[in-house]
Amino acid sequence: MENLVQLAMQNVNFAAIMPSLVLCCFGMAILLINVFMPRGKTTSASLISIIALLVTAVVSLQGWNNPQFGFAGHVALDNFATFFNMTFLLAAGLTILMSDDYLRREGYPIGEYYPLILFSTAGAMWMASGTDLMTIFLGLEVLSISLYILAGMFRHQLQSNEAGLKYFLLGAFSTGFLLYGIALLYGVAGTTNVADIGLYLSAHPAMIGNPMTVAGMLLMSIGFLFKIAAAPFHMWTPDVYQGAPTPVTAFMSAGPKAAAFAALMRIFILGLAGLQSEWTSLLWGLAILTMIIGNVTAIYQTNLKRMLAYSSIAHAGYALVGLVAANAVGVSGILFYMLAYTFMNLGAFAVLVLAGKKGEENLTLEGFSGFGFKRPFLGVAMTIFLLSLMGIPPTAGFAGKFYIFAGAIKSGYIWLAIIGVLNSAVSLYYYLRVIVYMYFKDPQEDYSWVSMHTGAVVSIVIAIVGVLYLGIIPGKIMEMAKLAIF
Amino acid sequence: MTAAIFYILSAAALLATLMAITRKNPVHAVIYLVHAFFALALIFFILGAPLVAAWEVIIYAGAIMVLFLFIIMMLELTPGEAARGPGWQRWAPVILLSGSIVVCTLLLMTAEPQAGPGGPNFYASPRDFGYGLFKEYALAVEIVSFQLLFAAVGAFYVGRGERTRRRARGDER
Amino acid sequence: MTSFPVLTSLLLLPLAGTGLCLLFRRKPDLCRALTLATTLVMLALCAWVFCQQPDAAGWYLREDYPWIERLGARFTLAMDGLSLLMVVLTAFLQVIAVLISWHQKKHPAFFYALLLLMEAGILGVFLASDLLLFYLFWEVMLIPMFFLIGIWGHGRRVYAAVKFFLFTLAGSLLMLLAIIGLYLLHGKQTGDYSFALEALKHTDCGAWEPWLYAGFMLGFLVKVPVVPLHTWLPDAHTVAPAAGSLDLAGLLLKTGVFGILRFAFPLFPQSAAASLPLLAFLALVGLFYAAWCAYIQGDVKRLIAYSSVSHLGVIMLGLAAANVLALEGAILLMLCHGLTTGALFALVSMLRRRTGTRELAKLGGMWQEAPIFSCFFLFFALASLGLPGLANFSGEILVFAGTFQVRPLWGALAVVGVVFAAAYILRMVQELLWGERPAGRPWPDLTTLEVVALAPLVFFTLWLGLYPETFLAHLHLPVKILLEQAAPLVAAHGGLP
Repeated sequence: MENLVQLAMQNVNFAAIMPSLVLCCFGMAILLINVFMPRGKTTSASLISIIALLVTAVVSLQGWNNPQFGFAGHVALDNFATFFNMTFLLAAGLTILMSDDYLRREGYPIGEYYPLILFSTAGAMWMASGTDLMTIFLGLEVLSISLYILAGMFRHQLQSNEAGLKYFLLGAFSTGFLLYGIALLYGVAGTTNVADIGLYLSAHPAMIGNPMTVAGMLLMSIGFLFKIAAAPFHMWTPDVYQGAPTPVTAFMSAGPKAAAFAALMRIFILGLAGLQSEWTSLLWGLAILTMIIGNVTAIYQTNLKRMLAYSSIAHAGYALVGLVAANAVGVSGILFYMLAYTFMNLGAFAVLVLAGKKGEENLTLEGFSGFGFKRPFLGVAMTIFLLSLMGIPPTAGFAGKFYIFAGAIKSGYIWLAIIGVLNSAVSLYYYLRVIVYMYFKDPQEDYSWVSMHTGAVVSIVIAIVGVLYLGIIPGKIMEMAKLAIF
Repeated sequence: MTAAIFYILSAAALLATLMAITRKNPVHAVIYLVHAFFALALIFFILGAPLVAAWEVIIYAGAIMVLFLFIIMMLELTPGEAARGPGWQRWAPVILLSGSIVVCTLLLMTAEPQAGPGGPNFYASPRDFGYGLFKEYALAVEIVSFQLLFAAVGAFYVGRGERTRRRARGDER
Repeated sequence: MTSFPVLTSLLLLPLAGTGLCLLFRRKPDLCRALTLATTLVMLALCAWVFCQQPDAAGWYLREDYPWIERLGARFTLAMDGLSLLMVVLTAFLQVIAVLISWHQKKHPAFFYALLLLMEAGILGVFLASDLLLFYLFWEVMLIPMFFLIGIWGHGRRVYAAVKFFLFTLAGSLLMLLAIIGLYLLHGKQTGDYSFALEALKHTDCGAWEPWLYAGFMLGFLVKVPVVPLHTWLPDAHTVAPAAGSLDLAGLLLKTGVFGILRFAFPLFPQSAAASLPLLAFLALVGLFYAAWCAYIQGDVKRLIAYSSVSHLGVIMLGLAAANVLALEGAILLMLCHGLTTGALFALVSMLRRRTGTRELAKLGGMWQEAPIFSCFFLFFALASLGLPGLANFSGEILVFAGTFQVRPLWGALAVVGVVFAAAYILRMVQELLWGERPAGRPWPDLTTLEVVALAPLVFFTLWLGLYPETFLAHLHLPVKILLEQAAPLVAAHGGLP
């Protein structure tokens, strides 16, 4: 018995998994506390979650420039993981801040909500810090299962049910692809360790062109591209985003996307560097397809949640451009972009959370007529977020796009950069239309139902500060993103 | 020889899964699924993983499928329309599948233990398996345990609402 | 020189004003006073700089702070004679803009905030000496204009605002790509990744030069605007509020020309030299086409908008001639055009406020009805036409003289174009001031406030027309330096001075 314990402790380095560990412990504690709380009282749970995120942030920052490895090389808390951890924590924090009053308004003040957000954040962290395909896969599962439940949380709303079920079925399907790809790669290299796969492939160049390797790479990409919501694996996005509770949609648009990018980057750049020409040509096409489908379809949307869903597809396309470039500028550009996207998109969703009536039937373009003058703070905030999503300076969106397209041009993908820029020109149209409705149309209503709940307002303020900080003086964060890549 | 058995079993597993997802009668579907699990268990055995093979039978074919059957019977799910055509047509696939699986099992049992369970000189004893699981993949095991917790939370949440939902339906009426 | 960061405060003052206006949005009177105070302080600052002497390299002021070190972008502001004149024009016109929109009723605080924000953006464009910083201000300047047109416009304001935004932004996105391309080329050659204009001037772009130049020029030409990229301008002008039109014609169009002079020509002299005939062609086409369009317009404001396009044709011709006389003339004409066209737009807005229409067919007889208004209108119309002694004449004559030196044919054609200008302006004046007055209630004459707003414009129009040397003195050095840096431009016309 003692022998077994010793055996299990051999490779243990808790510092390497401390952030996710802290989150899970807090999550379980909240589950327990919920038992003793009266039904419908969730404010304390949300406060504890915020504390949990802050503690985790402090713990996670210990790994900055102080990489921790452990568990037989299955997990690493390096700069890369730390940077992404901060992004996830930010996404989770903003989500939780905007959730409390929202859940009460919609009639679902459920205590399980907060632990589930924390658990899915922990899953995202495992994806970013996993250095073994198994860890990454399990991280993806943890992330997804929590999100399946969260997406279908409004049990008595058909749309939410549909969102949960659709996300679950398609997600399970895509995870199957991912697992199949992992199995094939394991068959090739005899290991699931990302770095070892890379070593094996560089030692056996003949295996690089092997159909099994290529098939493994392709199947694995499908799994991640599904989570990123890249075309042609984006079909689930609009329905799920529209049907899920708005804060959950906000989290879904930032957290899992960043996590999947983290995993994809680690696997492709560290493990499958030998196949770079294969995966760049694959991602090149998919990036263009994703940008075009996302932007062109978004033009036709009148529901704002749906419009933001398609816009999130388009943004996945921009970020893919950075991965195609596959140089220091492009890759650190993705890190920066994911952080910027988290700020601007969650900010926009926070405004939607406040602007919605119960049931959110009014979150359409028409429903925003004259909103800007009736609710000046929310109007200005929404305008800043939309300008950032468009990529207009001096906002975070501009700095991020600039970074990524500079990477693409540097690697010689000039046409890709041009197509990307043209796509952002297309995107102007539908983002601008929201501004047009907010300010140029006469108000139909007085928006008296909009009350400025503290949590959501705080999250909006944080997002504004972030968007402007990253837009005006991005130097420090860019420096960190550069240090964070491999 | 092992290769031949492998292909027969793979074909059987595929066929059984196909039948399982096309049956209208849930009990029939479960029976086919059990066949698929048996075929898979044998494949695991051939590939040198006897412990996984045993678990496949015990947990999947045994416990989980029995649970399925139990729930199906408890809920009194109406079976789909009865299969048409003469009796032998209905029974042929089952007999074919179970027959081939039994034959393969016998062949493997009678084969030389030394030559045995084939594969590229790879054999994972339960001890190896345990070492792999708790040494190399210790973290993965922990994550899976966490994951089961969340899944349970989710299942609990989704299931808990049943009463209110029924009440809501009653109100509508 | 002083250590006080004048240029940075020129940018920060209006931003602070914007913030204060948004803060006190419930007190419109306070906002109005704040805005006027801000613009006056800025004007005073600019006037102080105007009295300074430049150093040997032509700089009046230079400020440089670290910004995004990871990318090699710095917060560099610099002011030479060219930007000085533009900055003075901006500060001056912005005071007028506040005065003519004194009685803003609809969301006044927001309106003034946007005016000040736009001033910050425009000043940033004129001052930035770092390409990334320049691009940042270039976009910042768009957004307030978009709102000004969209919220306070008349008629098809949404259409015009969106069209304005999409046109200019599409152009500037291509410019962004060119900026990135130039930045990377320079970095690859020297190992020093920098956005500094002075450093990038020494980049050897090789085969990329025409493409990069085209990217920059598309961004600028849309803004100028040059036919056939001009279609957003008449729409935007038609619907824009008075202050919006004033800023659009007086300042935003100038940023395009300024960009060409400051960035496109010095950065890519070879391609620029090769493109001069094309530029001249576009300029002449614009000159004639816009004049013809102006002649057939029934809407006074639209007519002036087209006349604006036509005048910018003359300015572009000055750039295409690319010698000392023509360039100085073109820059001077920018100032003159800012004053006269701005004043005309302001007058048309005053007219519309009284009569409710801008259709020439429904107007007439203003001379008897509102003599003060008519005097002002006649004065600025004649200035716009190029009457000697008034502003536009001095600029135009320099451009033509310069053009005749290198390409007499272009000059001859352009002079014919000015005859066209006489035609549409005289038609407008005739119909508006002396045409048959339609029945209706009486149209009151200008108020004191409006006269106060217009009087400085009259004063400077006369000054520019009678003694332009005050302003030209600031231009000699920058133009000389520009032509030295972009030597191929001179060579393109056979090496004439």
